Amino acid sequence: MKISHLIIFAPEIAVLSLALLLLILDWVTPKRKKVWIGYFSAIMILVFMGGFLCLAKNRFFPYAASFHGFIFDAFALYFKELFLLVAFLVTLFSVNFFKQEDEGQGEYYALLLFVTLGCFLLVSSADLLMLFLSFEMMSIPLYVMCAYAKKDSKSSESGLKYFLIGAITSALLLYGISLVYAATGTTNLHLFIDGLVSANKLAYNPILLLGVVLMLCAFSFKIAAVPFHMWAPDVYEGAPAPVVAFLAVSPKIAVIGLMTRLFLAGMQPLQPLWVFLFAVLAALTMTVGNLAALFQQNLKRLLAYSGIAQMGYILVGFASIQPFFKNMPTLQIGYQAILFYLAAYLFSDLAAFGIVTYLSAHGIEEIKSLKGLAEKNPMLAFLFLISLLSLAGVPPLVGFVGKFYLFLAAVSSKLYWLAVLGVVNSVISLFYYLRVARSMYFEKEEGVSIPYPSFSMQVALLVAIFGILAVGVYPFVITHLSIQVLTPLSNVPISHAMK
Amino acid sequence: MIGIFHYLALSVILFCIGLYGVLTRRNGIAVLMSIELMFNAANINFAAFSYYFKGASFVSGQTFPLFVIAVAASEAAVGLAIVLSLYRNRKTVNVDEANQLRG
Repeated sequence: MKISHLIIFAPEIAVLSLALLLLILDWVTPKRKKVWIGYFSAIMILVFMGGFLCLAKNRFFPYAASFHGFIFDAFALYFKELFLLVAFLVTLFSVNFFKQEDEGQGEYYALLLFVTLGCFLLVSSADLLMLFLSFEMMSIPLYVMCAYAKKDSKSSESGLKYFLIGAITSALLLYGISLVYAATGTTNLHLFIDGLVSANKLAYNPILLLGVVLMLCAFSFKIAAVPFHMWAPDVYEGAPAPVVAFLAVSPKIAVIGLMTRLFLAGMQPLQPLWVFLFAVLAALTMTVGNLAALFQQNLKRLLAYSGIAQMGYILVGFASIQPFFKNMPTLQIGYQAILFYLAAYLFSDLAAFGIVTYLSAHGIEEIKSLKGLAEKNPMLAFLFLISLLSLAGVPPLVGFVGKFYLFLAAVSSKLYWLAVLGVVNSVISLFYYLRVARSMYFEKEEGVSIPYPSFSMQVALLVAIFGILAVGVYPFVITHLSIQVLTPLSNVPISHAMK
Repeated sequence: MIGIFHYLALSVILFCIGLYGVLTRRNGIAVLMSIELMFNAANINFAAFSYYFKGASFVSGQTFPLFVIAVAASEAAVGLAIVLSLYRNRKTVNVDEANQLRG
């Protein structure tokens, strides 16, 4: 390894240095000027996004490099751009959420970047040790962020609940990894996959199966798939709104990305088991998420259940992945649909959470207190409507295209019942999203007026709404990108290492 | 003669005790301790199997617990801080009494 090879760690090094720089800045900034740390961080994140795009345009794009435990490839870069986008939007939301007298704002932005760094490493990990460490790197700062409003007992409770669930998740993941190590004798992912392929009987090794199922349980906890979803509504309700926006998107995308890599690159011998497991998980998650959302009064709880349902749709993509063999690699539509839907989820959910953050800063958290929002603040109401419709999957918004691809994947692998269930669920979801719209548009109430958002908030909301509309009307940007990103992964073995 | 399956059985038992503790104990600190048990069950697996494999892959099994110990320590630090912050707001460390959030 030469020193010039460090360039493959460029994204991680950049984000880590920025986080450390923010800590130093926090130290020297006077208390009333803390908000500038947030703006500075947002601008630097934009610069990084541009820089990594240049890296991608350069010779690095089709290039896969791996060290022991770390892979840098186009797939990882796609996810890293998504995480940076999330970090950018959430930073702008937070700048508008926290008040001048709130404590610890400087460290908050650094913590946000540490979580982003954990997500970066998670989608790049090629070793179970790396996987575990980055999983923790992603989770631990988030516990702190959930409990960030120290004086608010709800926030502490939310932090405690997220911490306990997170610690159980880590323990399950770790025990799963230890069993996988016991069964295969390696923690390196590509050796582990080769081991599985060469000794097919390993696929029916009970220790291995148990280990893999425990790992799957841990992932399900993180993405809040039913039956591991009970924590989500409570944690979402108590935590500060911008933190919720963050924890609803970044870790979920990271875990789905990791699962995609595991499946595309390996675990193929266990395929028949997966298809069944994922189909059941997807059906349960969609249905329970949507049905429970029908009865929610609190906006954050509503979005929590809606997020659960969204993850159910993504699991449909996993269920529709066909068994595939090393000698005939084909790129399957299921993977593409997953990658596309992640982008769709990012834009729609962040737009919705952006508005919820803004409303929450003005003391509105219940659906019934949204009454008359359309008159008081038409722009905000309209943007909220668009984001909710995109989450529900109404054409021509991005959520519709994403669901279309996912259900198409299900149909193409003959899971007709799952596709039908998905469509039925989308119809159910329309009901509760429109209930929010009815409250905003058709119920009148005189009350406090809500001021127009500040410039930075407008920028953040418009970026998210622009994503919803642009990708919805012209989805080929992302589908084309997803083919480019996935093809090298399915053709080139991971063990193609940089020596 | 103590074989690999004895270690495996020990770790499974330890893991189950930890899981039982997490699900039944109501004191926040006790739940933290049960989680530590679960982590250490996995460590026993790593150590035992790294000795069992001996070949090229045994190093990863031995380094894994070192990292896990560090991670568990940092997790406990954050967890205790959060329990403390809850205690300041509610004057309790009982997980059951943390029930303001229920829809």
